Amino acid sequence: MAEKQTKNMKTYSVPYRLDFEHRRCVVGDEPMLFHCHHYNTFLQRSIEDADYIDSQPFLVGAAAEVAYAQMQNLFSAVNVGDEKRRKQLAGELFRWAGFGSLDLGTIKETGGTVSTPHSHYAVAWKSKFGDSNRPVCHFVEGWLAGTAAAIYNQPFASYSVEETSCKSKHSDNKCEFSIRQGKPNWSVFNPVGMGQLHDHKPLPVEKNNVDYDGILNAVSGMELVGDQNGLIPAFGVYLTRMYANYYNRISFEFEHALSNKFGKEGIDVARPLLVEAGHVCAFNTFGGIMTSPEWDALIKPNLKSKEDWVHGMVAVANSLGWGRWQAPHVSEKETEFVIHDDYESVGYRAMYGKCDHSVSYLAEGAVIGLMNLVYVGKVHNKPAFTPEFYNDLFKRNTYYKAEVVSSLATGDKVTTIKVKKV
Amino acid sequence: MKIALNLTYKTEEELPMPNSLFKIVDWVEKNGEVQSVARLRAKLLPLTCKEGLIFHQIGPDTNCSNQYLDACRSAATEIVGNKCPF
Repeated sequence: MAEKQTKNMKTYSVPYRLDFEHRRCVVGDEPMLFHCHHYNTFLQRSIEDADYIDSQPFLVGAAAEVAYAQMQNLFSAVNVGDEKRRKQLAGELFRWAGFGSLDLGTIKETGGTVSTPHSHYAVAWKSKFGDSNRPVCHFVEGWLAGTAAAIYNQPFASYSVEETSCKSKHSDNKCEFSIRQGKPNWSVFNPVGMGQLHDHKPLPVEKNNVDYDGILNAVSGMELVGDQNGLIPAFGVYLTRMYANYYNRISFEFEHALSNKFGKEGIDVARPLLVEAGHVCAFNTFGGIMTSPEWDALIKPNLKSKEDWVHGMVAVANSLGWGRWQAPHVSEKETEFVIHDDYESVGYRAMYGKCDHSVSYLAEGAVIGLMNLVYVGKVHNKPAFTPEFYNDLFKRNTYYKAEVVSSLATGDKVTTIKVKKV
Repeated sequence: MKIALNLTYKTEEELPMPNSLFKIVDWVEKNGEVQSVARLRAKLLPLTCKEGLIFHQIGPDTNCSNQYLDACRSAATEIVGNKCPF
């Protein structure tokens, strides 16, 4: 297992660890992975659309869960006991991960107010959907509640948090959070950390022209970190190094809330929206990557066929923290994707145990999206990634269909998705 | 013994047109973004269950209450971002 400290960075001293064997980026024993603002906001909007379920407590609680566990581990690992240094490290991690910028100096053990003009969710929401009519930074609320408890050595659920103004709203020019010591106003979950990872036995992959290991090393070494505002504008999107377990918790709590109320119909309603979030991700992030100068310089020169383009993006996906991705057989007609320790299945099993159906929604949407981009959208021609192009590519939903052949969440060794041309 | 009858009648205008619901769903599919119909289905889920409808089987002959139709129209307008014409 390779370990790396970010010693070469001028502005960050976030101690992260790259676990190449399991394709994970780990900070304070919490797996963190790349996703873009399109995915983050689409996922949250899908959940909040179902306004008959009380989603805010779990949208906040999921962030408190990961932040508290991470900060406790982190403070202990780097031996930071001093309140000021703890706040500094936590604030630095927040900015490094692309969540925005926060000055935690204004909070005390009893609580306080934190404000910022730069919060990823607020910026992202406005950029994707326009003005919001309500606060959208539930992730930051939870993150603050969990982090405050860790800083002050308090039990996990010791703070309530409310976003009192949000820059996503037309009327507000900053995001402001009021933190109070006391009973939490969010759902309390037990942190699961890395979950159960497995020894990977990579499958043989058909001959191709892509240097998988070289790409993994090169992309993993790129300094995709927050700028002075704590945002990561890259590949035409705002990236975040989000907590895998945040996505997992909010997606699965959403699905469970619907299935508890409406049975199978609830799952049938949640599933296409969660898969669609994966489409959105593939279109914007994969599309942005495959038309970037970095792609042109590092990967494109070796690509001889469209199949190579698929392999090239799969190689990049290995550096995103999503698990080990493989494409043993690639063709325009049918491609098989095998994912070892996909983060959705690992998270589900750690949180809830085995599932009776596949939960690799992001993966399912992403692989369909990739096939559409390469074989239908002709990504090699560098199309403009506009909403019109998106609708044209995905709306008909007639080009490619995914079939989950095996699922780690249901007890299989790996997650296998076959994507077939319709 | 007198029995009080409280009969209410709906005028033709008050009754939903038989295919109004289908027209709204179809309009959302044609004018909304990808998976707009899935969003519509999610937004209406409690009402759909109450109504006893199977959303993905809504067709030209599907009837529903005025309340459901109003909710569908309102959600359609929000999702597409333009006033639903049906």
